[in-house]
Amino acid sequence: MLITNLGTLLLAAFVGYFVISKVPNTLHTPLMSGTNAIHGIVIVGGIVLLATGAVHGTLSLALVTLAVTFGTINVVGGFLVTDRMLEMFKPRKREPQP
Amino acid sequence: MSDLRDVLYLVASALFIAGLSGLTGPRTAVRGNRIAAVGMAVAIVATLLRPHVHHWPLIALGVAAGTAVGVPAARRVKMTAMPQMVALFNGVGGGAVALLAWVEFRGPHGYAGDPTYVAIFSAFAAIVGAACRSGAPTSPSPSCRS
Repeated sequence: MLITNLGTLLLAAFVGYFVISKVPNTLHTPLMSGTNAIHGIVIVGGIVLLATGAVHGTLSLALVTLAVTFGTINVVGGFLVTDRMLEMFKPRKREPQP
Repeated sequence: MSDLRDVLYLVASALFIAGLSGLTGPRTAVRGNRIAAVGMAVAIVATLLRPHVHHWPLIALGVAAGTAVGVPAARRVKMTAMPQMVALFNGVGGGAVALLAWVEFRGPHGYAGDPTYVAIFSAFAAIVGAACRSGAPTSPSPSCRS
């Protein structure tokens, strides 16, 4: 399993390097915001812990629910602010050439 | 059903990568962000595709509370305060990571049954996540990529 995970890490590193290196400087801030929203994928970890019943005890249940809340804030807020930032980059409509 | 989940996770990964590649140009950027958001939705729905979902009220509560906090915050923040808001969202994400690592540690066996590298990375995640959370409100630095 370690080798599989390392394989995923390696491939992800290459994909990340090649995709991100093509992002122009002007789009770096929305890029940071968008990738931040994606790392909210941690919410899946919280949901898995709750959904599989792997968590017991009031404190642990409360902590995982809080983690899911935090993760949701990260995801929902992250994609929304990225969208707002990208509003500024929409190309303006051009007049049709005569 | 766990096969379907795995396939959907692959689909979500593909959507994340496709979405991010949209950010390489202004024309494709907005669509790219939305594609990535769909990928996240797919991943979350896939996680819930189980014969029996324990604690679903807690899951619903967490998601509802997060949405209730995140949506107004994202809509109302001034454009000039965007970097700080991104840092704040990053901080709560890191906080989630630290909380999950802590809860796993509190479990009946802690990390005793897991392979060593899992324990090392979990502890690392807890430290980075906690540092991220405490540092986030005061600086927009991207140092806490967890």
